[in-house]
Amino acid sequence: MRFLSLLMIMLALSVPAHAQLRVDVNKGKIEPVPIAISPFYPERPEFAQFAKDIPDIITNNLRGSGLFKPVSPGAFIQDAASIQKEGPRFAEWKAINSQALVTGSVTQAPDGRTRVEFRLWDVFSQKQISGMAYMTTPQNWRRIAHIISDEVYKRVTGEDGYFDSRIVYISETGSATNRIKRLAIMDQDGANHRYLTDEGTLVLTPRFSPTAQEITYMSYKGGKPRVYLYNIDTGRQEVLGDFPGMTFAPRFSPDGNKVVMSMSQNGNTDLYEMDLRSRRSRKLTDTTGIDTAPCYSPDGRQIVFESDRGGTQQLYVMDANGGGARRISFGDGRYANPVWSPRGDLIAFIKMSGGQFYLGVIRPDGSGERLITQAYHVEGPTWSPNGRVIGYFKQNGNSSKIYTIDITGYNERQLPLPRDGSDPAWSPINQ
Amino acid sequence: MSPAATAAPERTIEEPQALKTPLLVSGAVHLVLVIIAIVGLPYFKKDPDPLSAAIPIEILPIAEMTTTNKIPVKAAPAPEPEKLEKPPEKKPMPPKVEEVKPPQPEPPKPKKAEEVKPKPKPVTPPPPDEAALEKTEEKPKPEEKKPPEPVEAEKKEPEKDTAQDFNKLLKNLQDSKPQVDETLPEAKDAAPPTPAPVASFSQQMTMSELDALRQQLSRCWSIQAGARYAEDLVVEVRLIVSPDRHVMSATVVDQWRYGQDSYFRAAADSAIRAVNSPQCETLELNPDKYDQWKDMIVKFDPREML
Repeated sequence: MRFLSLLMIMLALSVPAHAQLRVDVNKGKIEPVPIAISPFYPERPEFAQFAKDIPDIITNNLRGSGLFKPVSPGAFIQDAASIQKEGPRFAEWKAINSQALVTGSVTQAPDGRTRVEFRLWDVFSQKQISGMAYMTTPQNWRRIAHIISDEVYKRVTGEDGYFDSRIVYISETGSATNRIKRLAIMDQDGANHRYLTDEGTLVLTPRFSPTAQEITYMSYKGGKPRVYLYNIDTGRQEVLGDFPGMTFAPRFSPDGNKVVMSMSQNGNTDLYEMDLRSRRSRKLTDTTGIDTAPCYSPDGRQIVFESDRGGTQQLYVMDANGGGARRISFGDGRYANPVWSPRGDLIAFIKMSGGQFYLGVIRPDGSGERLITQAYHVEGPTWSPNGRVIGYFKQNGNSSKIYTIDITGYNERQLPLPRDGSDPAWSPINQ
Repeated sequence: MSPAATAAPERTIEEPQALKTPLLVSGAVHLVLVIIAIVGLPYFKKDPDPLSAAIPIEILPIAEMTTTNKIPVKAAPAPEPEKLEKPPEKKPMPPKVEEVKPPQPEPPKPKKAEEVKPKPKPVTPPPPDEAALEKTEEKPKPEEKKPPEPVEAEKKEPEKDTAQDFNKLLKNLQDSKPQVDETLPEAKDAAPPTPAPVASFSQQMTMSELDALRQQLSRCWSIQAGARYAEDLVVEVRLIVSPDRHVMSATVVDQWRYGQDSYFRAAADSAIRAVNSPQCETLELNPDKYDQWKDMIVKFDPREML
């Protein structure tokens, strides 16, 4: 009892003499995070090039995202050797207005492989907030740079990165009447470009599997439209089936086990789903209108598609089993090519209105429609694996270029391609 | 014809004449009543002017400086599309990227831990909680030599308040065609700060003082555009402030969520960066009211910007 009384007195005494001041801050600046990416420290002279190139790639990636503002290396006061020896001198990094600092080193691991280490520092708090080391062969230095970029991006923004990913697209050359289209693949920043098919066959609409290094695409080999499954690692191709009347390649379900597609049968275009293991297909819609361009939601429970069942070409969302279709687009003009974001919150689409094409985003419930870019002809939206950036192509006359844009509608960038390009498809994060 | 028979008709002739006046009077009265019913009495009779309602006026202490009228300024220009840099090298990668061994993360070595000097502990403010203590220990204060610098910097800043509406940030070609509104909305919805209630009237933080602090912190707080779940990312930070108005310790209140949720951690880090940034190194506070602000909670709330 005495102890209880004592405890009560102590609790009463511990109450502060006055209430704590509370301040609400409801506004802030919308601006990229200033970040310094220091050259890495090379343990040996042969690592000097990697130690310079890896930070360059990281800088390019982070700047390209639009969410970071890399500080010019010319402003750096402390060098890599000094950082390696004594750690960052935060006051110097703070003096050049850097909020975050990336440092690193390239050394040789005991097993002979190259070891790349990085550390991310919060300059104002003067502490390390992330740090990793990767061991690999020297040829993979570029990929290591992308992986480090993803780590930095995730730690600072909270969202997964997208730099360690690839884009497959249709490379185009030749005149309008004799256009040569080949399947090509590259890193998301345009590096490591290579062709997957030869020039002899017309190929269209490649789609990445969300779970494997596989692509589906349409090919008119022998004049017959067929859907192929292409394994990027092995180069092996197999025919998924003959689909007369098909204009878009199928899209994978999020688990990679099914594909959804539209096919024309008896003069009517409807949606079908095919199990990739059994190769058995099932009809999902049966209306008099043209239902096409289906795409799964990231949880696989819903499908967005375009249809003219209501009189004009609009976007609809239905359950993955084909029931409960509801219209989500109600604006002027026609809507097409819906693609669900991997993070699930938005659907990208193409809108045709007033003789112009627009790329837009809309929430799955039909609210919040925004048009974020416009051109004479815009097509083929594809999402970065983190749902933050949209890739697409713009056509003007005989020229076709691939672009990316942030979902905010800013930071539109043209990808560096050796030739013209169309129909981009973004891969998931490399495994 | 009998006289009786002749008398009756005379009476019948006299009766209408006798009723004429009452009928006219009755008709006139009815007419007046109908007019009154239609037009209403007030038409004829003017009521005295109603008493005007009393307007309650709350008298608040006003400080010498207020910054609330400075808000509408030009919005910060949207992030400009950066020019693509040429990839520095185009070494073809081996076709089998998957041959690369998956990253083998090593636990980061906390480097130079011994070099990190603990911050001087305040004598007067109440000790922060355990987490706050951890933080203060990690944070040295090497900038003792240049205290006045940030104050000057922040004095140059005020016209550069780049806060802007999130909706304005998200580009929509439909909206942007007819109008380009670069002015900022008034901070009318900002929740009023709550001064400590038990202090004496003269010791209480005034609204102007709190507004100045809030605006200073707004200038230091960078928010990521288009962040997912931004509406859930309200971060409370506990600040322990020294008498010379420097932040000695800044601790995220919800430590559990900080450890669990990467989105929250990023938002919380951005709030911590705000209170540690050079522009907010010396807080705009009245030094005479130290007891009021030595220990405070700052809530960084991005919801109204969505």
